Amino acid sequence: MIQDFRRDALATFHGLPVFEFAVAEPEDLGEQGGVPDDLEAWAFRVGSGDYEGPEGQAVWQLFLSSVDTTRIKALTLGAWCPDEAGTGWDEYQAALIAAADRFPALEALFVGDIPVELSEVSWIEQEDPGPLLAAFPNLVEFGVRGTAGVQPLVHERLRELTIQTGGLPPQSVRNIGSSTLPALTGLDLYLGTVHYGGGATAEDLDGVLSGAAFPHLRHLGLRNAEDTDNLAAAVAHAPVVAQLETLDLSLGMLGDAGAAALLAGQPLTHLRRLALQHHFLSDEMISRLWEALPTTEIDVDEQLTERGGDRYIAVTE
Amino acid sequence: MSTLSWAVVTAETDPARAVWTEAARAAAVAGPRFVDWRSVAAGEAGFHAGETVFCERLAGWAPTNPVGGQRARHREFAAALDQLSAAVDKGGAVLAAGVAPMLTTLDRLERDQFLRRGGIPVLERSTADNVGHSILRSRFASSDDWLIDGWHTTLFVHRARTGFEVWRSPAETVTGTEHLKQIVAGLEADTVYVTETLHRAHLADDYHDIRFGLVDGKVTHAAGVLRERIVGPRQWYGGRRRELDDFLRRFGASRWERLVALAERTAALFPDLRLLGVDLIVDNSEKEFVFDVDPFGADLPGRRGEAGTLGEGLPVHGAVLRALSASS
Repeated sequence: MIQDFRRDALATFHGLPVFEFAVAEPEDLGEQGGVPDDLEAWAFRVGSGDYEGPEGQAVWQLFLSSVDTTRIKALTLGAWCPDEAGTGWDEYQAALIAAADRFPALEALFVGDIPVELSEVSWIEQEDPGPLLAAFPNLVEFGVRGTAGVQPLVHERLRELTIQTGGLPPQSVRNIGSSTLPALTGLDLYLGTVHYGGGATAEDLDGVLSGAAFPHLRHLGLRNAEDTDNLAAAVAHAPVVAQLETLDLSLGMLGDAGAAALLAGQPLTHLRRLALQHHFLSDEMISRLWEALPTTEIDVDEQLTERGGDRYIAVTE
Repeated sequence: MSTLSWAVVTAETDPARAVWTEAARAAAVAGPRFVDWRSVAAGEAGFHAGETVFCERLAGWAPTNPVGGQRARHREFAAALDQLSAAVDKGGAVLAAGVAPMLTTLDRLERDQFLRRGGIPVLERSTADNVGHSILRSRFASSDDWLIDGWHTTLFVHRARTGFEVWRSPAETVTGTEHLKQIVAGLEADTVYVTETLHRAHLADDYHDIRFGLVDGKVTHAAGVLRERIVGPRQWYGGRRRELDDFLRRFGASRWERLVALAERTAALFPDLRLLGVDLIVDNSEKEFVFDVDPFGADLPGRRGEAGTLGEGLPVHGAVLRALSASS
């Protein structure tokens, strides 16, 4: 799945190192065209890279005119509006859709690849990704950072879907669960906080947890969630778990109650990996998990303690 | 096309092979003969009389997880270099890089002492107690490299069933004093090399060091290097480098010439290393120190040599091939 988001833009995407294309003037490209020869070996981040950088539209135009986009396999979109990087995504989406036929080899797309220095994740106002998916029928991996009103998605080939937010609206979560993504094997949702429009519950996830929505799902990430304990309790009895190879409840507020519910539920020993990093588990509970799941790789990094009785998620603002 | 006789010893999958092949094409010399490090270790590698032999790292250059073990790998590399040197001598070939100076550059403690004795300014040592306000690196650079600069790092402490390990993340990790101290403690066996920090020159909207590529002691290539911001695992230096223009505009040609001279004075201390990378850390006024020395050549992918130098129009490794070709 896509690299964890905490604060940085992506360093790798679709298994490729990211090359930043953030210039708008032809003379800035230099003698070598300003880009590596092996275009297929890189994921390109196209857009403005800093507050005082060029407008994303100018960067995009230079990218289209100077790079053989027919060879690009992976693309991430940097800022369209450098001084207000959380905005402009409707324009960027329209520009990309207008140029869709120039990317016949595109397999992976990530929208909103900007670090927190340019915009906090909760301030990124995304568009419904549906039209983008429709414009790129050959995508196998898609990700978006920022909050969007997601409508039910339709795509025949998409295998991995990631949505990184500080607050994913519960209705969007329900819509994702009623999407038509028959090839989907990996789903990563950063559910976020109620303070930024999040707050999805297990009921909102019913389509996913029942296993009905995505019959080929092998990885499920319900991440960055405030309600991790209750989500864990729901997962403990969710039919989808039997088909999973990896389960990710990281970056949220998991505590001993949630972990205990997980252990009391259906067998989890078939899991290859259980990701729980950024958690509020006790040492005793970590030992219980290791003991109960001896062959599962369990990530219990970032053991946290409550602040004045409060827990917190990893990606909020 | 020149019929230069040369070989490069690398790991079988080292991306450096592509770098050397491209360099040969650009310099219009015959392509390299690649020799696998494993054959050197097995005593099976043979070298030809008069052949010039370059070498790369034992295991290529790829981020690994977990981090650590550099001390042991440095010893392995030293042993492998000795084997290589013996095989090269036996065949009547010539190593392009002397074993002793190469190992000196890859041991940052020893290297800085050596540079100080040679009159080269380097950052003063600091202590890990000052973590967060220092620059921390692995002492041994022959197999791996990482850097904690101030609060910036991609390292984190991973809790494994067997204990704590230091791992590497592709992105900047969550840091604080305690986090950094845990990392330092985890890497203690390899020796964490700590220096004071410097308020870096702010060029082209970011903080840069200056990286020089040198061949036979003369600068051929230059570019800015980002240190205080996490960038992708492979940096690309093609295209126009705004930070060098910015440097000249802000600080003038005389300071630039001073940097070039410092890089060349550094290279002069390593006459047996034909190909060398020298990184300088500089501030916004007049402080300049040698920050790193790379015996495998400056890592400046896509960068072409400066006008009027031996490397003009060529990649870094192409410049040394041009020099070899001219003298063969």
